[in-house]
Amino acid sequence: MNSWSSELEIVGFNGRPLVECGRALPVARRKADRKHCVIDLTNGPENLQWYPQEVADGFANEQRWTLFGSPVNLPKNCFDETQSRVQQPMVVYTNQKLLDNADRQFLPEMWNKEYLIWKKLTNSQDDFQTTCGTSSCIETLMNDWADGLLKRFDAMLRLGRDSDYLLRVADFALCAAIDRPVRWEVYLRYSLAQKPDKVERTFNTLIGREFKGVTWEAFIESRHKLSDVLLSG
Amino acid sequence: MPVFTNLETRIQNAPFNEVEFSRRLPNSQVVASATPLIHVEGRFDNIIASSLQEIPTAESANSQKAEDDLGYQRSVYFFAGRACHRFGSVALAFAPDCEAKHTGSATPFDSGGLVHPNKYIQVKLEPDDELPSRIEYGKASTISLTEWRKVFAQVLAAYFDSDVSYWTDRPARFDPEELYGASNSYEAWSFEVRFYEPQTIHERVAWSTDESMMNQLRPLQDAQPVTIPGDPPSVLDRVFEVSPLDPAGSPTFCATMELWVKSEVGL
Repeated sequence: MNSWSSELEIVGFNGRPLVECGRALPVARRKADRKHCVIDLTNGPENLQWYPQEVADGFANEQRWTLFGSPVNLPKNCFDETQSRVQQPMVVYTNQKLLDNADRQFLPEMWNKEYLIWKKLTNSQDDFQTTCGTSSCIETLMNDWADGLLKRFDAMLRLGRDSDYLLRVADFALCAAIDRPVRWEVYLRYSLAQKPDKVERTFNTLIGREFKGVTWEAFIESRHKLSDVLLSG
Repeated sequence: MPVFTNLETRIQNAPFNEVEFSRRLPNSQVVASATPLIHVEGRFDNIIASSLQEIPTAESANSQKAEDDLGYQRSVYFFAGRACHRFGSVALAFAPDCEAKHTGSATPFDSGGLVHPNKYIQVKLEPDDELPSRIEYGKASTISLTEWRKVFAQVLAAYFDSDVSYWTDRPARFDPEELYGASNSYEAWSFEVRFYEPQTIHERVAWSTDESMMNQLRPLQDAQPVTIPGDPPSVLDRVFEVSPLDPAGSPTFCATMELWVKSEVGL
């Protein structure tokens, strides 16, 4: 595994930024033959699909892949040398607007004991920064941004900010939130910012499906309680 | 010679095993007949915004050149049971019976990769592997829409160690043209199915997306006016009538889709 890791460099990610923040599978390049692959370790590293440079360029031109200006190393923490286990690497991207709202103006150079090298996306109009870490590191980082956005939401709700602004903050937080409990907290706030007659549709199509077993009544009760607590504080 | 030509004769000789083939074929037929068609879409937002919400025939110059070379009509592309990230951010699954409404054809590989100038699929052909030979091989490998599942079952039973290897591994036995050789990847053994007419997204039986797309759909849905009881559902309401396999979206949405496919076909 060690040799596999030293042969690869991360040159971009699958897809393109459609929202303020997100995670995506890394695109790696093998140094020896410059072949590219999307690193999805679901079926093991031996089943990665490799594409030559010209195909990779084609995917980038068609915006199927987003390429960095210069490559970064595959995160060392993806490899557990003692157990020869490979952990899924993941790319995260975000823009300054989201970070400012989350009160996370500075991007961490180290997170969860992992070094993160941030790259600015040169072709993006929206000031995106991106890095690659282990999947677990990226998840905790994004949850932290979501946490910052939750705090912003609560403070702004108490200050009586308009629902459009609150909905935007909650929407940012849903882009960042990965863990189930964090997403539950964000969805409750999202629904507080929505027009009341839109809440049920969001519950039926998104929330109820993501949180199977939660009834409409239980959701509304949680929403009421949160609203009471936030507005009495 | 296409991988399925004279298969009954081929399997009588090493490295094939006729007894094993006969033993496996019935189950491979069950798998092949149930395998959904998967289309991975890069412009799902455009489809939703369009009037008919149909997957259009491919518009890229490379796709249309391949269609012209191989004598296919303009096509919508699917893989039998396989989902690949590189085509987009939404994977849509269609049940086998949707084929009945279409004309089209199939090949046991990615036809565009075969005739692409960069020769993405490696094959050993006579007298050489240049475009005319590749076109001839591609045309000979073309199967009708009504026959391809029968051929798919035979290929699964003959070339793969198990049916699930189609998804998780690679063919265990080579063909003379080395389509299944080590230099090729899954595009060389994934059955490509082409419809010559657009396919409505509303007939999908399952779908999965990455998180970005789901995060884009949510505010779109919220921005819609409320639906008055008795009125027809909006486009987005119709989209969400089928629950996404992972309601929050996932970077591994293609793996999620293939996991669902495997469970649908009993693997």
